[in-house]
Parts: sequence; C-alpha cells; structure tokens
Amino acid sequence: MWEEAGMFSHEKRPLSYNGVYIDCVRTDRFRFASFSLTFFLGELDFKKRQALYALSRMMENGSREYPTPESLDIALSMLYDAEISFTFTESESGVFLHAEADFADTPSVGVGEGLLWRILSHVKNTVGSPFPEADGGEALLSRVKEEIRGDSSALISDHDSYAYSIYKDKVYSHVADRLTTEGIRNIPDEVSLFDVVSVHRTVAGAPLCYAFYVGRSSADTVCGHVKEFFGDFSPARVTPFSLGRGYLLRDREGPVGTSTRMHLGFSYSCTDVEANVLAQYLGGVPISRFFTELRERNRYCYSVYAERSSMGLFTVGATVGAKYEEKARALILDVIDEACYDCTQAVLFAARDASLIAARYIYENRRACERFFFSAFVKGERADIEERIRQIRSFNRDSLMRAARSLTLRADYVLFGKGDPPPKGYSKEVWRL
Amino acid sequence: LIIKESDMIITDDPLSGERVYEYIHKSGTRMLAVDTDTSISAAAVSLPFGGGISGVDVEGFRTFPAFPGIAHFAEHMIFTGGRLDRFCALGADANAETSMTGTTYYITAGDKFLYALGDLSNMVFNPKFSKGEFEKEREIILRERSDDDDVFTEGRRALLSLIYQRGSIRRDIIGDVKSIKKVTPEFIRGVYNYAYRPGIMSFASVSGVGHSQVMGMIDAAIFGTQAGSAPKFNTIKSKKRESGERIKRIKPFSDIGMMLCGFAFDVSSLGTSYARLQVYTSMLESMLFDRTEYIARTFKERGRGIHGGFRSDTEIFCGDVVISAALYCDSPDVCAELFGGIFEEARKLHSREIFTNVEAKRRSLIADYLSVFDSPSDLALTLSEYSAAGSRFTDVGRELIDFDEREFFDFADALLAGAEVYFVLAG
Repeated sequence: MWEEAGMFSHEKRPLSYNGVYIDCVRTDRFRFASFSLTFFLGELDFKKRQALYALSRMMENGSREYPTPESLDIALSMLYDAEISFTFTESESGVFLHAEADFADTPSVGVGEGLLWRILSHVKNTVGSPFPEADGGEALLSRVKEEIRGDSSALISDHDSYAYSIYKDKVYSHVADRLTTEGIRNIPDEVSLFDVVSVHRTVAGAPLCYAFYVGRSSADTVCGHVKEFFGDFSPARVTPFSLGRGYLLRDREGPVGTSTRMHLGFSYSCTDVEANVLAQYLGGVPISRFFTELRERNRYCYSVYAERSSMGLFTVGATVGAKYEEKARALILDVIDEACYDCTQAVLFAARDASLIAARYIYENRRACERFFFSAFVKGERADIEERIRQIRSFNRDSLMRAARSLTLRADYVLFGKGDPPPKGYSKEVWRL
Repeated sequence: LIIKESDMIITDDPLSGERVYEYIHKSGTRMLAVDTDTSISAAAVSLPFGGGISGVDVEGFRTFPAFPGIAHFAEHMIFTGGRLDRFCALGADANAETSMTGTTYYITAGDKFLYALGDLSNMVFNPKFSKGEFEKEREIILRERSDDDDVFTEGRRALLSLIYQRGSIRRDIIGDVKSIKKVTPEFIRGVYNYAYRPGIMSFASVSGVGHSQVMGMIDAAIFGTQAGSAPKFNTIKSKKRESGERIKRIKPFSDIGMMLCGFAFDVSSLGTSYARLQVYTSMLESMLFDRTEYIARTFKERGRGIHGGFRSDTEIFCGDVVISAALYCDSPDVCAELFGGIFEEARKLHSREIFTNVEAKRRSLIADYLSVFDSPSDLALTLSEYSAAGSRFTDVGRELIDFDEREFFDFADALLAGAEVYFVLAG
C-alpha cells in the first residue's frame, strides 16, 4: 500500500565501480533517518576479537577529530543528538564492525542532507583515525577498560541479562574463537594499546560488505555520499551462525537472586517466517500457550516468552519460582509437544495477526526496516515485504504443527535463585543430539 | 456519534508538525487523537492513580497507609477481567502498566482498531471482576515482586523509604508481601468504584481511522456512565521527612556493591508548569549526570575501585522532583568521596564556575521529543499520561522552542539551594 502510494520506495543499487550494494529506502514517514555500514573483517583469533571489541568501544568515545568523550558528546548533541554507534558483531564467516547512525530528519529542526554528509564524514574519520594525537589513544583505551569492568559487574547484578548472556555462550560454544561473556570481562587485563592499534590495521583494509539507508534523501544522494567517503572499499559476502551439531550441556549457575532464570534453546528446520509465527503462538501473544499454561493456569511464573533470533536459534525463556523449576521445564516441553499434533485455533489466529502486524511494522519503523533488509542481505534472500505478508497469511494449522515438529532441543541453561536450594541430585548432564 | 471540530481544542505541534485534537467530554473524560497514515494504530487510557498514592478513602476500608501496591493490584484485576482473548481475536496487542503517579492501559491494532478501542473502553468503564481470578492474580503479583531481585531495584526502594516517612511511596509500586496478602476482592471493587472515575481519565489515540470516529467510539462507551465527584487521593507531600536519617545500608542478594544518591526537591511552591518542569528537570539531570560521570571517570582512571557507569533517573511525584544516580562500587569511602565531588560540581554549576553547553542539551531533548512521535504506541501512551497529569505533551515541544537559558538557571539555582540529599549503600 505504501509502495503503491509512492510513500515507501526501495532501491538496491550497486555502487558502480566497487560492486558494493546499498539498500536505500526513501520515505517521508519517519522523523529520524538511519544509516549503517558493515565492515567485514573475516576470521580473527580470540585475542584480536577482544582487541576489536575494545576498539569499537573506543570509537564510540572519541577519535583524532574529537579526542575526548566530552568533545564528541557536544559535537553530536549539536547535530540534534545524532547517535553513532560502533558495534562488534560475529557470525559463522567472521567478525564485523557495524557503524550505525540515527539522526533527526525532520524539516522543522532544519536538518537533512547536509547532516547526512556530516554523519558520513564523521564515520569515515572515526574508522580511519580512531586514535587521538596527544597520547595515541592510551587515555581512551583506559577509559574503555573501566567501562568494560563496570559493565561486567553491572551485568552480573542484572540477573535476567546475565542469564541470557551466559545462555548464548553455551548455545554457540562450538563456534571457534567466539567472544564470550568471560572473554569480554577479561579485556581490561588482556588487551594492550598495541593489540588495538594492530587490529585497527585490519579494519582499515577491510572490505565494506553492506550499506543501508532509510530516510528522506534520494538514492542518488545517498549513493553519492557513500561513494565519496567509502568508494575504495570492496564487497564481501557473509553467512549467519549455524547451531553446532554435537553436545550441548545442560548447565546451571548461581545462586544470585530470588527467582530462577531458565532458557531453553532449540534449532529449527522450518522457515524463519514459520518459526516467527510459532514463537508468537507459543510465547508471544497475550493468550499464548506458555502464558496460559505456565502463568495463568499453574502460576509458575510472571513472565515467559518465545522468540526466534536472526541466527537460527529459537529460545524459550522464563523467570520462575525456584521450587517450580523442574515442573515449569517439563510443562514447556509438553506444550511444544502438544503443538506438534494439535493446535488451539484462537491462539493460532492471534499469532498470525501479531506476525502480520510485525511484518507491516517494517513500513512503519526505521529500526524494523533496517533489521529486515540486513537479515535478507546476510541470508542472501530477496527483501520483499509483501511476500513476507503473503507467507504469513497462508500460515495454517498444518504449518504450525510442521514448525513445532522441526524444533530440536539444543541447550538448557538455568541461573537459579538464592531463595530455594537446587533440586536434589541435580548435576551437569550431557545430551547426545 | 459525531463530535464537532468546533467543540475541540486543536493544537499543531510546532516540532513534529502533527495535529492533536482534544475534546473534553461532559463527564470530564479527556480524549486526544492524532490522525496519521499509519496501518498500525494505537490507543491508551491513563488515570492519575498510581503506586505513590497513599490514601483511598473507600468506605469501610481505611487504606492509609496500609496498602502499598493497591493501584497495581487493581490494574492486574481490571486487565485480567478485560477479556484478553477478545483483544487477541481482533488482532490487537494489549497491556497495562502502573507507575508511581498513574495507571495506563494501552493497545495496538491493525484493521480492527476501532473494535479493540471499544473493548479498551469497556475494560476500564465496565470491568469484570472474577473472584476465581483473584487468588491467581495475587500469586502472580507475588511472583512478579519476587522477580525484582536486582540490587538497583532494592536500592531504589530503600531510597524512597528514606525520603518519605509514611505512605505507599515508601514501599514499591507492586507493594510488599504483607500488603499484597491483605488485599481482598471487595477492597479491589471498592477501590475501583472510588478511583476509576471518568472525570480523571484521559484517552489518546494515534490512528489511521480519523479522530471523529475514535472520539465517537469512546463517547459511546462513556454513555450512561455516571461522572460522579472526582476522587480525593491523599498525596505524600506532607509525609516527607524534615529531619532524620539520610543514609541507609542494605544487604542485597548478590555481592555487588552499589551506592545510590537521591536529590529531592520540593517544587510545589515554584509555580512551574508540568511541561516546563519536565524540560528543566531533564536538563538538570543531564547536567548533574554529566558531571558525576566525569568525576567517576577521573576516579576510575586513578584506580579507585569504581565499576560501571551511572544509572540516573528523574521522577516527579506530587510536587516533588527526585533526581537519583546509582553507582556500582567496592568501597563506601570511595563512594562518599565521589559524591562529595558531585556536590562540589553542583556548587560550581550553581555559581556558574563551570561551562555547560545548554544549547547542545536542548537539541538532545528536541531529539528525544521527536522520537516519541516516531512510534504510534509511544505517542498514544505519552499523550494520555501527560493529559492524566493535567498537562499537554505538545507543551513540552513549545517549552523546548521557547527555552530561556536565564530562566532555567534561576530554576536550577532554586532547586540546588533547596535540595535534600539521601544515600543508600548496598553490599
């Protein structure tokens, strides 16, 4: 509907001489524009990943152009609080540095294409020259190390986030050199400025693998700016994480709080769209099967959810009373088992409607829009919003049961509470998959 | 049912360009609507009955100060009786939340938005209280409270109990185990009848169906509802400590050390509008926060055992502003020294000895303001919550445009001079 009305137009263009593709979505619908660049650095060993993580945090704090966080803050605030983040991410094929900018794109505050140029210039300068002249980056690195120490302490005190973080480590434990929660925690003691400067050379020579823009500017303008600043980069292809085929531990950690945080991780062989609707059916909509069975009927928990992440992982998470841990876990598996052979029609309709709204949200929200196009790029799929809507509309009872049958339990991780002792006889179990 | 535009207050927001239609029903219910070309519409209804309200003078139930968490319990019961299955059948997502100052119910929906809006109106005007659901909800609320076991939440509870001597605000929005166990179905019904009056409710919608239709739907739901007199909630204003302890130690579940510092200001005598208060306090928080972060960073670089960044927060309760900052740290002595440094910075700010880029901060606030307009659900929620607080969200935009640096500093001076400061040490 928006595309037909000319309110939302998408162009995928090659940047003529270097072959890099850029997804440009032109729309007047959002008050902010987003621009992102992903630099692909290939396979790096663990130490270099630690150094790159530190470098990405340094870039968020300053550069040669803005040597202190204070000067950088003021510069960005004057650009209507433009947010520019540098994120370290990993996939099966290697490591990325993801630069993302969000900035006001509303005529009333007098910004627009000039701001886009300044933002791109800032990204280019930061990636090219991240180290302040005065001390070569010593102070910035020292600051980042303190931030990392603090974040690690704060993470442990945030029980929900900590449990999820450790769970992800377990699920991707088969991926060689992946940067784990502990690996990040050790950066302050294990990474030197020399390591960071070395890894920056890799960044400077990295191919640019993806560019994305959503906002009011035309594709011509955006491509012109990208060529101006990043024309010397070459393209690369990537693949997402796959789940390991082997052993995963049933593991637990604690004690830390009054409630048990549990995560069950599944692989799936159905399509991503089918897994999305299944996640809504099991633990998304307000009358989802988990909500009804675990919370409303048995009062094992206040919150329970199911989600499909972009890396082929289907997660069920719940914060439950410690004494209900085993019962809740059994019930979760029972509910999934039930979905393999039967389906509650009202919940299926609600799940389908919620998935349709999520798909239509791509037209409405710049972040959803960016996630959709980036995910399609990584998987080598065609980014077609209307096709996704058609797939959701055709999802039926059979699709649901097929999707549920495609789940395979891969990880079971528990962070348990102080209030109750762990169940007797509990020990680490290893399952053969 | 058609409401004429001549009976509405129409405001064109100067920053976002959105037009906000406002209509006050004869019952006192406020309706706000924004028309957009969105395919996903959102609506919210708010009332100024939240976790910080102490006294609900329901006949036969003397509640003050015994029932912290009552607004939250009522929200659970009304939402549970709101027929979640009906919302889902309409493809709508529904939820509710209770803050210190109010309760809000909200929905998002696609094509069947108007039907979902009708159900939202029915939910708050004609809730179904099921006795069978009551015990179940009590268990779920106890479960919810038990899940809040992080050191920051524990510290925040302790801070409010230091600042306020009596009343629900000392405890927690959810209440405590004792108070949750005391609630009865009859009490909840009494609380509903007393507090949920149309005259204090504010509806807001951001939709593609047109403001006239939206307002007509709410009007139909109100029809026949007795407006009655407005409830008189006891505020916590007079319950604030004038003297007494300013420091509290707590032992959290984990071994993480934390220090929380709260600045409490009484702003009721300043006569500042709610919108201006929001702008000024956000800016002041940002200034205090920046200085705090700067000093902490210096301490960190000297290896003084401080971990993590700050968490800062500003809340406006019944004529008070509470600005708080939390810091994870190993040693109370280091914390004390650090927070001593903050006071020194506050003094410098007060005496203009330090440079602060006010224009950069104003632009940051403009960006925050505009970001609300980027999401139909955020906008509906914010419009209804501001309206329930007796203000208009678009006034914040106007304040940001007309911002006067000198007035702001006069305001900041008054607050910094009259601040009461409290500390919580965890670990």
